[in-house]
Amino acid sequence: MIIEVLYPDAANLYGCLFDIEYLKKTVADLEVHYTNLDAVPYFADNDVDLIYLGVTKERYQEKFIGHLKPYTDRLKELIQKNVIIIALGNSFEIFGQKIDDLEALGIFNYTSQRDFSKHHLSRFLGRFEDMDLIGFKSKFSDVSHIDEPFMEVKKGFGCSDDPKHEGIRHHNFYGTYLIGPIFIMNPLFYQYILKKLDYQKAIPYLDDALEAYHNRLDEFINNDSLFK
Amino acid sequence: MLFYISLWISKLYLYLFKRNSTDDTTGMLACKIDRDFLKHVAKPPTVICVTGTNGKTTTCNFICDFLEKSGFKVAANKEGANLRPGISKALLKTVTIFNQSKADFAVIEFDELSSAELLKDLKPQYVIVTNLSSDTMKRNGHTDYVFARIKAGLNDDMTLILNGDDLISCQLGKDKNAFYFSIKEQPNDKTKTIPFSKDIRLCPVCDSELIFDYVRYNHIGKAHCPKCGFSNPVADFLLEKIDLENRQITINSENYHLIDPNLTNIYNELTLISLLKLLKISSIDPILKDLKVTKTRFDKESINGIEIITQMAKGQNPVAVSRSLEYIKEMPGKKALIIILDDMLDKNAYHTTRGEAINWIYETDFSFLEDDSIKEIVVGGNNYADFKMRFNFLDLKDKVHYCNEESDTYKYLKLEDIDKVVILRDIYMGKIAKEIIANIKEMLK
Repeated sequence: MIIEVLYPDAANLYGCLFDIEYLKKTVADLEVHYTNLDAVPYFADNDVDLIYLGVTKERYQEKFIGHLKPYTDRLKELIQKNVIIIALGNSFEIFGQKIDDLEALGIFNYTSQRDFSKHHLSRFLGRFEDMDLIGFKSKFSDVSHIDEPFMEVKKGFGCSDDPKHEGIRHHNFYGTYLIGPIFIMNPLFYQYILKKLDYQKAIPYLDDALEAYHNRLDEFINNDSLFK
Repeated sequence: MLFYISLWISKLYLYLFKRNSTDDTTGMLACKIDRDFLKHVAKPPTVICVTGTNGKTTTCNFICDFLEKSGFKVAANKEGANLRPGISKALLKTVTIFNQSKADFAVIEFDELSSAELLKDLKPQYVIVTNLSSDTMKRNGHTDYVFARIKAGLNDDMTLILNGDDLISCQLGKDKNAFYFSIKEQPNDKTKTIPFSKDIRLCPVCDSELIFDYVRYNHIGKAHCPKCGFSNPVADFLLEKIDLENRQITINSENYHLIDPNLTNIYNELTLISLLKLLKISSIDPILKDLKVTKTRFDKESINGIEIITQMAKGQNPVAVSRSLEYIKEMPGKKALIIILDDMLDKNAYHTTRGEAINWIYETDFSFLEDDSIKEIVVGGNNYADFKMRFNFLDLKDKVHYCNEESDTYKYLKLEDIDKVVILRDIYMGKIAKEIIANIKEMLK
């Protein structure tokens, strides 16, 4: 299995890259390519099974866009070929049309607006297929005009123009404002992704991940005050 | 007139009800009556404001204690209430009913996010920024955001005292009247970036990857950009030598008593001495010998030859917890460690801590726990399962236990062949820590 981690030097906030450590513990023959801002993306000339882009500081979004712009068609091709792409937090905004006045990659139709006077922090509980996803959001922007939402909002906040939905999912592209290690915090989603990657073997520490997940899920389901 | 009504009522309230209280209700009352109370209340001739991610309370306490022991009268928010009400109360206490300041100095810890509005009213001569790193996410987002918020409050009338070893906060001094303190490369400094030091990896000028000459902790250290030449500023106050055996430090070729060997506190002391030099205070060393770290942050007692140590760390703050863990690892002897770091503010608000954004434990360097000198570990609290999952990425063998209730943690201690029991606790976990200590004492009798 080959995965590419884009911009670990800049898209690394809130512990998200521990997802990669978990993948390394899970998949024995995992081949990980870390691509910094000054390198040619591995996916440009090679096949990959998964691309992971973590949460970043807003000033790097423009750098990411500039860096990925020459590979927009290749990214579109990989998305059509069902390659898994995970983009967390504000990083998924770069695949839309615009971030404020900044022209983004234009792969999807959505646009994002920043407001640095408002730091949004919230808990989130959403539904995707037959599973509940939980997590946290920490952001200074909001997205609108998403055509294919990722999750249905059960508790917490969705998109500015569609509060009942969160994130984007198109083929195997998953973009969400959830931050941190999404695989570790959502073992059911992790299992789902691994299944898509044709990984059939046991997942290490799954019981521990599920215990933490269910503890939090119970609180999120039963404690509405967490979402006020 | 509104201000004077506010002043008199608040002073009366303070005298009648809050003389011995550490809460900031007096300041809240003052600000409620006059929203511009902080702007109007008289300030001492010299106002020193301190902020930063870590170390601001201890630094303020060092400065305040030093000035008081030197015979000055000081207005200070020593309890760490660093928003408008707490600061207003500190100043209110030292003005007459005619709004004349009786203090020589104000030493004010201020919240980094409130920099613009607080500094505008306080008009400090000196602003100290101890450091900037990832912090409690629920308030501070990321370092770019906090940096911008502090910067918004600074102006050319202020003298800045900045940490030259911190590549983030030192940039606040660009085009400002700034002085920098720094600790010279030390034997324990690392030669490369550690995975957790992710607050700055790219050059802030040209976004090229920085080359770290050495890393002290997190991103604190020395680095340079191979493309544009960006690097740490030249230090005005350079700590050249740390002599732990003789409890002495050397700054700009002058020797001083070392208040506390914890690296964080060495930085805090260096900050104090840098300020004192700028204030042109000459007799420093004799008073340094009387200064101590506040007991609530670090405390120890001994029973039947076993030390019981309480180490406080700001929970949800990855750098503060990592620093505490490294400090515990470095303590001599064999240790049993209790970790109680759940956010009690969340618990009080929601009756659970499972709503806590737990991401911080994936930004914290827990690898210090792998050290052989730490013989047993007990993690307590609602979020125990998150720690259990996190610790799967460490090699802790079977020396760790988990439990749901903080107050039960002592029950899992074996205390066999142990020299020290260390309780690493969150700020608001003081009462529970005391209960745990009482139970450990019973076990040791």
